[in-house]
Amino acid sequence: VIIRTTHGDFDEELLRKVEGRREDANEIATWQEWWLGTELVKRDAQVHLKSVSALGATTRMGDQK
Amino acid sequence: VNVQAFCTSAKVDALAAICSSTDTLMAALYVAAGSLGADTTGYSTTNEVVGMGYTAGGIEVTNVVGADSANGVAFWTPSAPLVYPSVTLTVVDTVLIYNESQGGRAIAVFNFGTQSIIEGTFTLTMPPNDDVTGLVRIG
Repeated sequence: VIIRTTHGDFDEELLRKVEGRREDANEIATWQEWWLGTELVKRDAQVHLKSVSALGATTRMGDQK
Repeated sequence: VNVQAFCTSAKVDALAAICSSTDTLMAALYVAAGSLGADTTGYSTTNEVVGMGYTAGGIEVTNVVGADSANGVAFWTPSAPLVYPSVTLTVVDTVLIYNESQGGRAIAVFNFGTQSIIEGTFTLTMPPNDDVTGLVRIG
């Protein structure tokens, strides 16, 4: 498979592919890196957003007695 | 029995007013050095990422499903992933969704772990659009 890199189009088989994943409260992230020797020549990433904008809306019409 | 409440219909109306499917919504990316957050009022180029394949202002958000509600919670989520193809971007960690049709009015800021993209595609995928996981919710 030919992929686009910092050196132009390159046969993916000639590159070393590294994949990663991270998850925390805000996101699930995955990425793929293609290395030519010690040089990173291509990197894709996907971030799955989690809802972080929930609001607590309420009403208030004076103190309760 | 009467119950004091912020009416769910009003919550939906509030979301619909800023996320109308007839408006053009945009998604701009920012570098980790930025200071976007709850106080952000609109789109700005300050600390917006600069890189190959990326145009200032970001990309248009697919928005064909309007605000909805369930269980007293109003919610809205973009209708498709945000995809930035063929880009080279460094230390991005935030996306601002804003309403271009309303003068760049800010809608929401989403922060994630720092990412760099090299001759690649950056994709932000969305959670299920419901009252529990919807991307923007008023509860």
